[in-house]
Parts: sequence; structure tokens; C-alpha cells
Amino acid sequence: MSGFNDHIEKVHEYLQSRDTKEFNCPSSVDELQAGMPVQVGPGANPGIILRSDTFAELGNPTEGSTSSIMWTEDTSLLRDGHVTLIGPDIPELEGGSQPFGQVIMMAGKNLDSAAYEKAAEYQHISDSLEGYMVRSSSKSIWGRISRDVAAKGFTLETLARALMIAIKTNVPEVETMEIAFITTTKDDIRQLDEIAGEVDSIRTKIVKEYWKEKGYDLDEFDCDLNCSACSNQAVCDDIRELDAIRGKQRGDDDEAVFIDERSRYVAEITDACVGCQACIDERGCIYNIIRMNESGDKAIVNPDKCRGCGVCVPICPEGAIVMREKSGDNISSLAKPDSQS
Amino acid sequence: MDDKKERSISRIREELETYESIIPLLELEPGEMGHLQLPILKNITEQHRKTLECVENGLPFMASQYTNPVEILTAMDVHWYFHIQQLFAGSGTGGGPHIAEDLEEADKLNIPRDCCTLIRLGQYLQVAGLYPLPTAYLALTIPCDSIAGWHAAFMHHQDWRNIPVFAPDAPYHNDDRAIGYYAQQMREMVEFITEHTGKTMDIDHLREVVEETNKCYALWMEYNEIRRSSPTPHSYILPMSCFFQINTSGAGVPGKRVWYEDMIADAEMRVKENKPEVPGQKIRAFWYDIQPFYFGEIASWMEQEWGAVIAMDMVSYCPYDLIDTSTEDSLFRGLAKRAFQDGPMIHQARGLADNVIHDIQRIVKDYKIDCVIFPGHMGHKDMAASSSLMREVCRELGVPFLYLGLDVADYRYMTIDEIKDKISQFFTAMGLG
Amino acid sequence: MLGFRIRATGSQGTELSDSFFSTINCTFPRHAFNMALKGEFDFIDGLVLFNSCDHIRRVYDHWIRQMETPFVKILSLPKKAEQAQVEWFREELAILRDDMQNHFGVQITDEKLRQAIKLHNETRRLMRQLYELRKADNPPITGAQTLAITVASTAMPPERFNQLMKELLNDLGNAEGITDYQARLMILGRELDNPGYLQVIEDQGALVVADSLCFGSRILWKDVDESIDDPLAALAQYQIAERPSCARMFSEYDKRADYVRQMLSDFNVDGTIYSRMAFCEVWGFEEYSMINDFKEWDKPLLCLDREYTLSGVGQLRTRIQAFLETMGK
Repeated sequence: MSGFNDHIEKVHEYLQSRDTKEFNCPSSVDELQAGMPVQVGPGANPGIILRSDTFAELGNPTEGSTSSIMWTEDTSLLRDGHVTLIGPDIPELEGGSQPFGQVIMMAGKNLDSAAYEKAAEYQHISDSLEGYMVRSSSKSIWGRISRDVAAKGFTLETLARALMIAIKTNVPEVETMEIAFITTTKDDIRQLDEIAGEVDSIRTKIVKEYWKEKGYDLDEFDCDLNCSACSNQAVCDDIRELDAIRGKQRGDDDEAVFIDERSRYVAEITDACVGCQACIDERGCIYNIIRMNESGDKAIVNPDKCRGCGVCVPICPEGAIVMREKSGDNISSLAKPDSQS
Repeated sequence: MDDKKERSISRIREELETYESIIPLLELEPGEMGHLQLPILKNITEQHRKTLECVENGLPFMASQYTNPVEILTAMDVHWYFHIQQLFAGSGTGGGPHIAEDLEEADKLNIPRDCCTLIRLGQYLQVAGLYPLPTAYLALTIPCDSIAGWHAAFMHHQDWRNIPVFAPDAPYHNDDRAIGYYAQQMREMVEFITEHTGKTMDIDHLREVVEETNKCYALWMEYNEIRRSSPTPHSYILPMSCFFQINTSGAGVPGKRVWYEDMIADAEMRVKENKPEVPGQKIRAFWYDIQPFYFGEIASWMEQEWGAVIAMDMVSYCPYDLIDTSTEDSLFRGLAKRAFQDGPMIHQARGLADNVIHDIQRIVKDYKIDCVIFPGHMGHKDMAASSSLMREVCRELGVPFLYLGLDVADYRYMTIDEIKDKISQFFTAMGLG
Repeated sequence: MLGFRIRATGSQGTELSDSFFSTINCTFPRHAFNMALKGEFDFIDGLVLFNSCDHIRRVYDHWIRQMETPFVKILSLPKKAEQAQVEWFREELAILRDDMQNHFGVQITDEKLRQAIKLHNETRRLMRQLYELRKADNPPITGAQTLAITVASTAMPPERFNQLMKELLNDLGNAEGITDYQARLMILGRELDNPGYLQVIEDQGALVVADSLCFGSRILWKDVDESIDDPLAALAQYQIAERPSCARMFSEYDKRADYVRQMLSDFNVDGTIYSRMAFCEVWGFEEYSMINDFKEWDKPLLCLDREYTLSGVGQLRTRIQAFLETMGK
């Protein structure tokens, strides 16, 4: 898919038919940052905004609320940094609860659904904008602006800049961005919400594709081995978990060396091995220690690296792996239940 | 009162006595949270007293189930008790004094073991005559086959066979037409209640009640936001009551709203003054399922032993819509929609896996979650299907994920010590705490 | 158009469908979907499903994503049987009719529906005649054979089926009755479409003379009321309120219990087998109530769990033999 060109056009048409205020923000992140009245960036808003500290509320569902985010490969469709506002701006809202609509449009030659998904997370800006909090609700964009930042001159342009900073910093494929805000009436919001609804249904499909490419069909189970029958499944899963996270933290993909606890056993691959590699692929040795031998026909274990956890034993369809106590005894009870040993 | 009647209210009496002895102590020494705990206990005791009064004096009262709109019952001034909540009686903090024998007896019933323990326990309580017989009752057929099957069996019990019952029929679809159909079922429910209790419905009064519960829902949603603060203001036990207060007898009475306001005021104060109820918080967890019976013990232990707080949980994180009270039709449609589309478990079971993905992504970010715990209740077959997906979502977010695989009602399936061990190992291995 | 009721006859395994279900899902939908994935249902032009139970709902979720059947619809089936439900279901049927007309370019007029109702009522009447014959002391036909016939009625063009039935009834009129059996059994349950299962039971010396099954008596016991002018209303009335119901109709337990009790008496049944499939909650709770009722009625009842495919035959034999012995037969 190359983007939401049609929907972007619909939004533009809608905006053109209304009374708008427009302002142009710079393109680069540095320029966007300069002159911001408030802090922007991860942790800029460390806490929540309590009711008593609220200057204005935007997007309460009873008032009207909508949010959508769209992308296109065609950078000519958008004027970078352009922000359109229909309705009052923040300073005019003392004590008010205002309907709120937000539409983010992004363009980039290299944009794709993965980048889109990443950018979509930033619609709610999370903790990256001082004095601005969006409630944790899946259904609407319902937020608060604190008195402190209202006093510092927070406007919707501030919000727009913060969104552009967040997205351009974290999603480099985004080259140009336009944002529109609506703060007039529930009816006005509803019209935009219809477009948002269409974008959302398409987005659900994109989300599914995204997960499918990662190997997760949202409708499927990814078990080809019946792990639920194994009493050690939970432990096994925890270890994989840990492996992935620690590996990520260290920035390496290959070797997992995080747990130095070893049992008093090591795995040994017997002659029954047929070289199917079940012990090596994703479901196999969770420490990535088993390798194929040089001729590529049998699997081998480096006894110095083996942790002796025993997970490989039931994985082997031939029952070719046994656990030996480091003194040399064969522990048959750890062999695969219906193997010959 | 004959023996049978006495037995049917024995558990209620027991619980009433237990709380009646705690209340004066709490009043004397409320500590920091007494002013929030007391209204809950007083609410429960008041409801129990009413139930006993009805039974002793032959006054009309009903039994009902979660998702049947409590507002309708409040508006019609009908006293009722919640027959699933009976199971949680005295629990949430430990499972009640009878849980061990109840589980054993429930096992002896001829209900196949692969059916949900919670329901088998419910059936046992009926068979053992531990539910007071109401004038009429409202049953439930959603969200799963087990509930519907259970009610068929429940209705057939000798003692309950002649008690009038109404169960609304929830449609499969989710569109306007389906909501209209269920709204009609709600109207039939009102007629049923009138027929058997003589109480009538005044739409204006219903409107007031719904506006009251709307406020409570809005306050509950506000309270949820305050839990995002780090450290989180309260321990986990009280937030669980947010759900019960709005789903049990008396919901929609203005007094109940005061409790939500107090919860928020207390939480706000703790945030402003940085005085969390649980000091030394190190780990923020997301508990993604309903609470087990023995949860009081687990949550407290997590807090004390590991400084691990549950910043958010599945039962609390539901996108409730406020009901439009302008017309009779919008009232009934709003109540219908909430009943069969919005509640916890229903929200997760009716949506696709993308509800699950989205929820986890938002919650981890918004609540600054350090780890996700999926209890994996054995009865939640639909959710078990999604656990590998949840794990992957968490992996993407860089957040550890723990799958327990426990039984919400049966601590023998996975014992409390086993659970504590698993959680401890998990926290250690993840370098948390 | 020919209506074919989905079964998973001949399914060898669930290796393809395993990734779509969990190990705690019922085996019937797993086998059926496996066959679908293998292409064994490619001959169908359309599929209509109902939200019968949690497991079948999953089949729908997967079918629309994995299969290319051009027309797939799911209807919302009520769980109780009052007027509001009959009306709801009539609307569901009306929507289905419109969808079918639009998709297949056919006209499903009221008149055509009435004729179809007549035709299917004829089928039911003929099958009831068959069942009548089994009331006798020496029925001319076994339970296994009867099941084969009732299953066939869900897979064949009705005109042809009716014609064959008439011929069969004619022949059976002259047939010798079965005499060498020890006990008259009734089988109670759900998705049993495999005569082989009954064969194993009958090989132990029993004769299955009556049943309450999805592919058995429940589809033939009552007729659609031809006096109701609106055929969709008549069909809705029949499906929801008239015909002997599936256990998922939780409000109808008493009627089902009466139905079973009546059959025990009319067919002079010695003992009953309750056949449930593992993980079926709906029939699990039904089992619980039935056990209590059979105790009250003082009638022998044997509860057997099974998988969709016939397995554990040795165990089945043993349990039937034991059951017959306990009945003193």
C-alpha cells in the first residue's frame, strides 16, 4: 500500500471548506525545538496532570473527540510544517472543556506500514511534552493542559511542534508533516471522525500484516510443538524471554551468556541424530549453543558452554539427546518420554 | 426459621459477623486508609443485613448476575444479591474460610473438570443450599458457553425450579440492530421484575440513577489516570473495589459516588505530597486478568517483598461509554450496550487479538509498566490463545512478560507458594527489584 | 440449491487446523476445519454458520480469513425460545435470504419456500415412520443403520432421499426383525454422525432403538408448521421453539428432559448412553442435569466422553459390556 492519499485529500477538502487559522512551522527538528515555551522530549512530562492543575480539557468524548494519523509516499501532497486550526486556540479556553480533533498527515518516499505503525504511537505523545497529558483510553484523544504551561504560552502550535519533533526524531522515514486541529463543535468533529473511522479499519488490516510479517498471524497459534503438555513450559518461556531482552539490551543477537548458573548435567547428542536441526532452530536450544558439525549432518554440543537445562531433550524427535551428569552417568529420566532409551 | 432457610443465609451471616467485628476496630484506628475501607465494608454489611431482613420477613428480593444493569434494579428499588460475588465473599483477601472444603465438594459434582472452577463452585453452593431463595432472579448467558450451561443447570435445581427466572439473550452481532434487540430484552427484564415483585419503573428515576452511575464511571476513569503517577498512590486492594461498587446492589445511589470522590481526593493528595500508600516502590506491573480469590495475599506480598505494585489491571482498564440519558430509548440502548459489549472479559473476548495488542501497548507506555503478568486463568480459553502474541508485543516494547497459568478459584491447581516462587524467579531473572 | 450439512467424516487428523485452535478446543470443529484446509470442502459455493458455541464461532473467524468460499454468513442464534427470539431469528433468516438472492442471483420466493418446507416435512415424516418401526420388540433395523440414513438426509437432494426412503420402508415392511440382542439402548448427545460408533456398541449385544442426537431424532421429530402463512416465520418458529432443542438453548432444558423421558417409555428403553465430546461445556452442564434426572427417574445412564473420530474402541467395548452387565442383561 502506498498510503492514504484519498483520505488525505478528503481531509484537505474538509479544511478548505472552513474558516481556518494557519501557521507554518519549520522543517527541521532543531528549528522546531528552538523557541518552544515548554520542554519536549522523553520524560518532559514525568507525571500526570491532576484536575486541580488543569487549565483546559480537550476531547472529552461527550464534547467530541477524534484522532487519526495518515501517511503517503507522495511528498508533494503535503506542505511540510503546515498547521491548520479550526476553532479557538488554547489561551481562549480558560476553564473550558472543548471538543478536540487531531489529524496528523505524514509523507516520505520510504514510508511503509512498519514506519507508520511506529509513528502512530506518537499521536498521544505520551510523556514527551511538558504540561500535556492524554488520558489512557483506547477510544478517543482526551487530554489536559496544565496551568503552568498555559501560563508559559502553550498553544496548539506548541502541540503541533511537539508532535513533529517526536515523529521526525523517531521515524526518520517521515520527510514532511501536516497537522490539523479542530476545536469547534461535536458535529464538526463527527465529520472528521468518519474519515478517521475509515482510516482505522484500514489500519487494523495494516496491523495484522505487520504482525504477520513478524511471523504472528493474529488468528493463529504459533505452537507446532504442544508445549502446553510440557510441565517445564513456563520456565522455558521465561528463559527465552530473558534471552531476548538481555540480548537486546546488550545489542547482540547471537549468543546468550546471561545466566551463569549451570546444572550438574550436560547434553550429549548420540548417534541416533539424523541432522534434522530441530534442536537448533527457534524451538531448540535456548542458549543457541547447539551447532551442526562441519559436514553438516549431525548436531553437536559444546559441553563447556552447555548449561544443562535439558530443554533440548524432548525437542529431539529421534530421542537422540541425553543428559549426562558431569561425572558421566546417563540420566534416562530426562530423555524424551516415548524414545527408546 | 426452618433449618433450610437458616442454612441458606449462613454464609451471609458469617461474613456479616466478620465484618461487623472489624468495622468498630477500623473506626477506632482507621489508619491512613480507613476512611476508604470503611464505606466498602459498611456497604457490604448493609446489603447483607437487607438480604437477611428480606429472608426473615418474607419480603421480595432478587438474585442477579454481573452485567445485568444494576441501575434498573436500583431504580425499581429492588433489593438483590449477586450470586457470583458470594464466592468472593470474604475473599479477594484470602478466598473465605470455607474455600478448601467448597473446592473438594465442587469436585465431587458431576460437572466435567475442564469446565471453569468458578462456575463449578457456584453450582456447589446451590446444591449445598447456601444461596437464599429469592422471589425471582435474573440469570446470565454471556460471555461464554459455561455461563449459559451453568444457568440451565441452575434453573433446573429442585429448589430453584419454581422460582421465576429471566435471562436476557445476547446476540452475536454488535451493530445497531443487535443493540436494539438487547435493549428490548432490558425492557422485558423490567416487566419481569414488576410482575414478580410488584415494583414499578419510573423512567425519570432511572434517568437519575443512570446519571449517578455515569458520574461514578467518569470518576473511576479519572481514578485510573491517577494510577499512572509514579509512585502509584494506592496499593492494589482498594482499586479492585472500584469495579464492585458500581456493579453491586445500591449502585446509583448518590452516597456511593462519595466514595469515588474520596478515593480520588486521597490519591491526588498522595501524588501532590509524594506520599504513596506503598513506600519503596520498585516495580510497576500490569496484571492482565481478573483477580484470583487469594489475591489479597499475593498482592500484599508482592508489595512488601518486592516493592512491586499493580499499576493497572484488566478489570479496571475497560473503555466504558457514558450513557446518553436524554430519552427512554437512549437509556435502554446505553444500558444494553454496556451490558453486552463493554465489560471486562467481554471487551477482550468479543474483539480480535488487536484489542489485546492495543491495550498492552497503551498501558505499558501510559502507566510506565516494568513487567506484564498474565495469570492465564485456566477458564479463559480465548485469552490463552493470545498469550504468545502478548509475549511478542511485550518483547517489542522491551518489557518482560510472565505467564502463570493459575486457576482463579482453585489454589490447588497452582498453589500460592508456587505463584510466589514463580514471581520471585521472574523478578530476579529480569533484574527487577 | 443443495444444502449439505458439514461433517468431518473421514478426517484423519488435525495437523493443519491445529495452529488455529488450542488443545482445549472440541475436536469436531478442528477436524471439520482441517478438512476445509485440505480442500475437501472446495465443492461448496457458500457456507452458513451459527454462533452455536464458542468453538464453532472460532471456525467462522478462521474460515473467513483462510478459505476462499465466496459466500460465508454467520447467523445469530438465540439461546432461549420466547416470542422475541423467534422474531429475531425470523429477521436473521430474512437477511440471509436477501444476501443469498443478491449473491447467487436467485429468487427465493415465499411460494418456493413453502414448497421446500413441504418437501422437507415429507422427509421428516418418512424418517419418523422409520423410527416407529424401532418401537417394536424386534425392530427391522439397527441403530447404526438408522444413523447412516439420517446422516444421508443431510447430504442428499431431498426428492431423491424421499424416494429411496419410500422404497426402504416398503422393503422393511417385509423384513425380519432383529432378535438376537440383549438390551434396548437409547443414545443421547450431540454431533454423532458416525454409524461406526453405534456399530461398536451394537456389536456388544445391544440394540440402539432410540436417540436424541443432532443427526438423529432431533432433526425429524417435528414438522415446520405449514399453516403459518409467512414461511420464514414458520421456519423461525420451528427452529427456535418447536423442534427438540440443542443443549445450548438453556431455557429449554425441561422440554428436553420430557422429550427424553417420553422416548424412554415409548421405545421401551433399557438403558441410556450419554455421549459428550471433550471440552464441550454446553453438553457438560446438560450431562450434570441429566445425571440428576436419571437418578430421580431411576433409569440406568452411562456417560461416555468421546473425540470426534472413532478411537479408544477397546475401552468403549469394555464400558458397554460392563453397562449391559450392570443392567442385568
